[in-house]
Amino acid sequence: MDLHLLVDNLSNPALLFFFLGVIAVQLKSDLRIPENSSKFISLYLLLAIGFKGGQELAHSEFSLEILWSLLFGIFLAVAVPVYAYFILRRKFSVENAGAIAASYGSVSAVTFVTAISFLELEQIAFSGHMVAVMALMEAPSIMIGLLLIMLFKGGKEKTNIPMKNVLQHALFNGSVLLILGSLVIGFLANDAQAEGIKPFTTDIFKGFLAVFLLDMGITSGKKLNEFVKKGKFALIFAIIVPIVNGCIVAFSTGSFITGTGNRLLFAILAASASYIAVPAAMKIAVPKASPSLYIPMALAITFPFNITLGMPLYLYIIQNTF
Amino acid sequence: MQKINYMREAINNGLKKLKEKPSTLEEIILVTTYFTFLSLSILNNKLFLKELALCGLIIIFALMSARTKNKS
Repeated sequence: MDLHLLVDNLSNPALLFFFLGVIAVQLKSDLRIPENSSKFISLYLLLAIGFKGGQELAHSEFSLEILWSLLFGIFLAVAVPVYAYFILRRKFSVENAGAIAASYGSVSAVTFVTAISFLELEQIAFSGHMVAVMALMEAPSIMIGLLLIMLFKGGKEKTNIPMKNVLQHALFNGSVLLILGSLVIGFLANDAQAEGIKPFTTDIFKGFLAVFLLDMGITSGKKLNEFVKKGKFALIFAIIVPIVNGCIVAFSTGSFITGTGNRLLFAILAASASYIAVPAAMKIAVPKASPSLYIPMALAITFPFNITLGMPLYLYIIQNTF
Repeated sequence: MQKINYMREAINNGLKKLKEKPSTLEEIILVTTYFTFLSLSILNNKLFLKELALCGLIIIFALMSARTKNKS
């Protein structure tokens, strides 16, 4: 791992604010980000990243690589939950295994945004279509997770999953709709008019990211305490599966994805786990699955690992292979 | 006093060498991190050991490629 990458990453103010949030919880401080502000900031981040992605996409030529990237994104969103499910079944019930598998197959928009900020810090270019890849990876893993639960839950306990509601949630939940909508708006907007909202979409982005990560730190700190009581299997899974996914994708994408930035974003998408869209869908579809298991795994373990050690590790692999 | 001076010189020389060869320090960090996870796995009934071994192979390949790049 390139030492300056690790130092740059660990001294990134946004990440330091994340640690401040975790420390605040351990010190039993009353530091809080109001819920509405937190919601607004997460919407802002999705809007800004979608809009910037659309703008990038408008300036890039349509190539076969865009199609490959979209297909590879869908492949990851299907393959990761399937293999994760069978590993998880060693210790967990069908419902919990399915929900955790869906979470690890889906992606974390905040990890993606942090990775983009890391790439900008290192002045590494990436393509706008990666935002579309990220948005596209949210839904399939939710469907696969539910499909696995339906397939393996036999007998009297056969689950009655409200597929219509779940599909609605998977495809049109707020974050997916906002990021895809912003991507389309960014694509359609002309350059002169897009320049007008640049101070909002670009200049203040990192400041808002810092506040959002502070909030994530506070939430992670709270979840971490309850999660430690859940046993070691979940903890080890939440650390090792992201490394495995990230390393394999960082290594293998060299043969069909060009650009270090795009490869790192793929690695981080494969390594990240959803803690917003998937829990919302699972709450409706599989109430028996325990949110106190799959939310802290993704939020309190996998997310901090990816944004601290994960990103420099995957970048090291990308820069030194193929 | 002489011993302290000698130790200080040895530490300074060591730090200078590390600065001259940053890749060595990178390798140490990478290998230490990997072995931390490996020991975590071994201590817990070899959980995910095969998966970690696969990652190990990729990391070794990256380390070797980095060395070759540095040499050339």
